[in-house]
Amino acid sequence: MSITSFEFFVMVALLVLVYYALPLRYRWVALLVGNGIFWYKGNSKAALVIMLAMGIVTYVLARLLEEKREQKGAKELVTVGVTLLAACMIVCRDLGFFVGNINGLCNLCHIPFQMPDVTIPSPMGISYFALIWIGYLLDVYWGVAHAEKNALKFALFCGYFPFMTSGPIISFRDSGAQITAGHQFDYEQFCFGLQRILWGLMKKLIISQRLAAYVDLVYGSYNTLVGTYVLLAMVLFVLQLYTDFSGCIDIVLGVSQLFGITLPENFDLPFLSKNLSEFWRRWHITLGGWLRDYILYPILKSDLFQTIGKKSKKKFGKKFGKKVPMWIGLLISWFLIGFWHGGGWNYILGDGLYFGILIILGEMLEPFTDKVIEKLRIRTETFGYRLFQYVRTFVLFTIGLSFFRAYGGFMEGLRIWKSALFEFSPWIFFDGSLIGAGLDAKDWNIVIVFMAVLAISGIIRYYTGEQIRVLVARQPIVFRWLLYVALFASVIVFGCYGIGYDAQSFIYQQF
Amino acid sequence: MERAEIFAKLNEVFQDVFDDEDITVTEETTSADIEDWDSHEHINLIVAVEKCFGIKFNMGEVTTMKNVGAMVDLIAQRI
Repeated sequence: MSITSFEFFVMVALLVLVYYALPLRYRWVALLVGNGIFWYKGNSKAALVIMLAMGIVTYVLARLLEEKREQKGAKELVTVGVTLLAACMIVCRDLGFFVGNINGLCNLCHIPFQMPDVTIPSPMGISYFALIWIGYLLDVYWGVAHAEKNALKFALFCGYFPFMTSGPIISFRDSGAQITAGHQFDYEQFCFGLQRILWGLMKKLIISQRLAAYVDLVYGSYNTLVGTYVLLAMVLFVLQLYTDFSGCIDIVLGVSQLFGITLPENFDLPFLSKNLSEFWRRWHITLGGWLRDYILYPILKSDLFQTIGKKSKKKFGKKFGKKVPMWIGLLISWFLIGFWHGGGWNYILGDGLYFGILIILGEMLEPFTDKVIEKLRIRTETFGYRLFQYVRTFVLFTIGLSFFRAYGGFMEGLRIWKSALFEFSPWIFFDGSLIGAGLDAKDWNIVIVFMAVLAISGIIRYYTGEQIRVLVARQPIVFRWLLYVALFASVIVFGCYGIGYDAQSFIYQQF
Repeated sequence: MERAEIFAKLNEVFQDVFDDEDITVTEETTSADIEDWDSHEHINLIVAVEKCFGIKFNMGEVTTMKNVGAMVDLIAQRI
């Protein structure tokens, strides 16, 4: 069930009615029913069985960990749980990747062995819920969360239907109580929720869907559409991914707000980042937070990394040496980020290690770049310099994402770059060549207008520090409602629906 | 050890880790108040605090400390 589908919104509307009709202490049951419908509609029977088995194991292990915390055997229990969940995620999603690599290696070494290509049913949202459940087990083990005793409330949290498609990656310690508690109806929050859903639909149905038409066309025929067509497709894919993913998160957060639940934000104006490090603190925030808390910190605090730190400080001096274990930890984290996005070298290299290496290089070269800036007397506090930093970050991100979009693999990414650099043809922007390339003139105009709306809203938020919804809520009633109606009408009139223009599934849903 | 003593020792640790002798931490000090206190330096800080007070924080505590006051609470419990 897509979260942009009519049946999804009918289900949400019915759940809202039932939720607020029930007594406060039973309201969570309505959401649990929502979970059940969503799981049933989104999974094959086999996938559902796998998911339920994983859930039961997590529930039982968390209860045992709660009892055995700081006793003998607790470490073994949590290790078993985390390994099992991670293994299920990898086997269900990425078995083909390993089989392909092993077979490729055998071919290369002339070993007469080929593994059969086995596909295991993958439960919907396994990439998200596996991380959430691993975090839950670790939190219980570390004593910062209590294991949920009520199995049904546990089922509600661990399979909360809005986050099953594309996150955010929440934690039980921060969001568990909110999801399982009943909430009073709050008119303001309810309206903000509806507005956020509309905003998300605008991003997805008006902008992302149209950009997809151009991007898919060019990436599908990069042998004939070369040069600037491809460079433009790379840039537009970044905007497509942003409007798709953040639009999805807007819908998820908006739906949750209808039930009085506030989930953590996943985006914070990422394109206004001065460097890649800052960018990744503003893009897919909850994934970064999860990796920091459950991978990076434990690695860095381990005895091995502490020893590496001591040795590197002796060798390279305190300032530089203390960064060495951090950089190794970062490379491991970025490898995992790439792998999490999908079993494929295009993801591991293009969306993982590429960013890790650039961030580390940036830190390594910082003393040198600071000297250059000082020598050239560049005024770093000016708007011009900030703009340069924003553009530089965007370009570096676009290069990485060009491999991410090369669904055929890393080598296809290289072929696409060869095609992009084949010729420089900026005239396609002026001679009408772009009209008909996936989009007609009307569609291009719609994209440009709504991207401008999005950019202006982002700039307003950046300078005021407030959400647009909050600012709009302070406006006179007539103006306010004019904006709401305009947004609603825009989604209805300009949204891409129906046969032949079906809303594609969300890009991040596939992970 | 009195809370004030813990703060005095913590100040020295912070000044050493962040190479800044002007740092003075209070109950409410958070990572937002110290320029270089990012997720990278957080672990260096935690390890230095552990070494100074001869204690160990578990990973849950490392990830959920809200401010220096919370850190001092944990130190006071352990020493």
